[in-house]
Amino acid sequence: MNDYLVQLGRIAPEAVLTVLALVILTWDLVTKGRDCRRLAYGTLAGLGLVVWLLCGQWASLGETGAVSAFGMVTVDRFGTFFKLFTALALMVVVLLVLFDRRERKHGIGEYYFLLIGAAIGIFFMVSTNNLLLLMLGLELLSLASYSLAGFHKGSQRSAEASLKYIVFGGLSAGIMLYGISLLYGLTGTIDLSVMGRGGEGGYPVGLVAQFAVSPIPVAVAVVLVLAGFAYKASIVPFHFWTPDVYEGAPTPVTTFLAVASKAAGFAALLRFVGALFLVDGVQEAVHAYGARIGLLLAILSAVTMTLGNLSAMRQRSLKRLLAYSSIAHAGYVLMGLAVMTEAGFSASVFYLAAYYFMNLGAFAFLLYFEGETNSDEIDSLKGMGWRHPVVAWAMVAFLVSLAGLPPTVGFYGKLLLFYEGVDAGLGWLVFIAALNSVISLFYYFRVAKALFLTEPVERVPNRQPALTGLIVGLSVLTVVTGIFNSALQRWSGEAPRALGISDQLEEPH
Amino acid sequence: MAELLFYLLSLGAIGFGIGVIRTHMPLYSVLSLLGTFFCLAGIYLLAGFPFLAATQLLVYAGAIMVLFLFVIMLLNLGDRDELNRQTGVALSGPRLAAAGICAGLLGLAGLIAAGWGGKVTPTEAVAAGGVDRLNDIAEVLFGRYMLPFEAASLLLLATMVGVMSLAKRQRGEETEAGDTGWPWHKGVEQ
Repeated sequence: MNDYLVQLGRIAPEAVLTVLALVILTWDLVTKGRDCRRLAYGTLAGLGLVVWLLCGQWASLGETGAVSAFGMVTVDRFGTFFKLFTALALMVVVLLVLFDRRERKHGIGEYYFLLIGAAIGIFFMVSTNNLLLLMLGLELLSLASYSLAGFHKGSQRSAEASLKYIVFGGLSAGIMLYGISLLYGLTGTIDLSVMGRGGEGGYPVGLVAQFAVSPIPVAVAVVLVLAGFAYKASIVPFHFWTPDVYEGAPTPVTTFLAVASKAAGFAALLRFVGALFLVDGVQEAVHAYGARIGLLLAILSAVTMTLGNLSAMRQRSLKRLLAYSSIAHAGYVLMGLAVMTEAGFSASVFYLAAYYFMNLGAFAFLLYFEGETNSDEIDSLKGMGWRHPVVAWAMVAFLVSLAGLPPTVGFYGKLLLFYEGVDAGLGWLVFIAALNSVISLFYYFRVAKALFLTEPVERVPNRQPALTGLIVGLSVLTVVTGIFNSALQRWSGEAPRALGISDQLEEPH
Repeated sequence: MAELLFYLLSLGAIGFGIGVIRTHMPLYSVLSLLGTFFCLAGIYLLAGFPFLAATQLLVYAGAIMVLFLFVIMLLNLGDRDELNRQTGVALSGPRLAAAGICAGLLGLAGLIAAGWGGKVTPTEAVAAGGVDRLNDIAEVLFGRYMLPFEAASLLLLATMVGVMSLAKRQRGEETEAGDTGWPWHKGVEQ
């Protein structure tokens, strides 16, 4: 019994989130959805508790320490890092829902329930080595996201977003499950750590044994599973849903999808690749195989960032532009994975953290601007810089960070990725990424140009003070973490260390 | 004998599967699907998994089929033309061919995996473990797999709430406080 409580304590954040979700749902039912602002405050309080628990967990875990709960959830700093960011991002999203002028204030209790449900899915996804729980977490996240994307039923675009998301999501979940079933058939286990190393006494067999006898099925299975992750993280060629869904979904939901959901996809992908190919104790053959998967990821990375950036150039809607830019950023993050070392992984994690700050800010700005003009066209941004100077300057900070210029966190993140890329002999990929950064300058500064380089109109004071405060806070974070990056760098370095990746076998192709 | 039965059931499953997409009446599609499920249940029985076979019949052939029939009844999908008109998607030749190619590729991948991976199989271990007793199933479900089990129930809850929130009565952007759109909450009759 005592042991049971100890294990339960390890998944306290998940448990608290689950209770929170049920409380919100019941509360909504009892108050008949009268004042959903109170539900939002309740959600924020609950998330605050979760953040506090996660901070405690981070402190109590050693650098490489990992404890398991019920033999399913692996509690380590890697998972805790992403859980912490998810919880914080969700708090921002809940605030955005509160500040959304176009959102009803009554009868939207399910909104918060579904957001928390999606977060529980992410929590399971990022902290398990078990493919069954991983898939369930991913599906929980997906199913909650489908309903959230279609939350504005009256809007045709929202309905379209939901439908497209369901169709693409269902297809890729099926493909991924098929890959997982093949992996299970080949190795006899769904535990990634056992799959990578092989079990005691030759059973379950592990991937090593299968490389010798059946290299092709292993490749088929791994690629099928990667496809599922690629969909969640909108990596080419599984990115088609991204612009339409991001455009049609309510803006707070878009923020959640672009930030928390995407980062969760990457976190699970990092754990999958790390546990299968790079952990301590895998044989030479597996490691060499990992290098080939790395090459595949490098090619995907180059294609993803190029396609994302080129398509973003032609967009007239700021929401679509940010959607394509998020595809491009998925390409950058993938660079760190393609390197296939612990340092590369930590560069990816750092970039994801940077991505949280700048995209939360950019989407918060989008919400502000939609509240003012009721449109998301870049053309209607004209002169906003003179009418709303504070948020506009904050947006410039986000744009500079997204483009990867100093002194912001985006610059430092890209620097780390480029450095690791060159270090691992992926010079060609770094060259393509640098070219892409130049292309991205063009469209990010088109937005800045619309904001400032048009006829100044008469100034009016900002009318959404709370949202302005949030945006300014995020922009300060973006700049400050860019200049004083050592703490964030230390944390993002510690996160992948928990995966137990060994660099000794690392042989640059 | 068992081998002959296996091939017969496999053929039946494939035949009914083709029937699902080739018939003109949605109702016949559903009934063909039922046939496929029965054949699969037979294969499970042959493989020595009576519990799985029973579950297959109860869950798929029972519950899910009823759901399909309900949808057909509710949408009044008499024949394929009606289906096309309701969904706006016509089952044209190229689309069918594309679907067939996709299915074929997936099947091929499975065949390759089965053929190459046959040398190390976990089947004996699973069979020896005696997973077909209900006690054992309960023990595994609420012991080792407790968390996934709970996660699955959360998943179903989230889906249910999502579906209800999407399907409940359509309202304008402005609503009166207290009117949530649920019939049992209805403060004001519409």
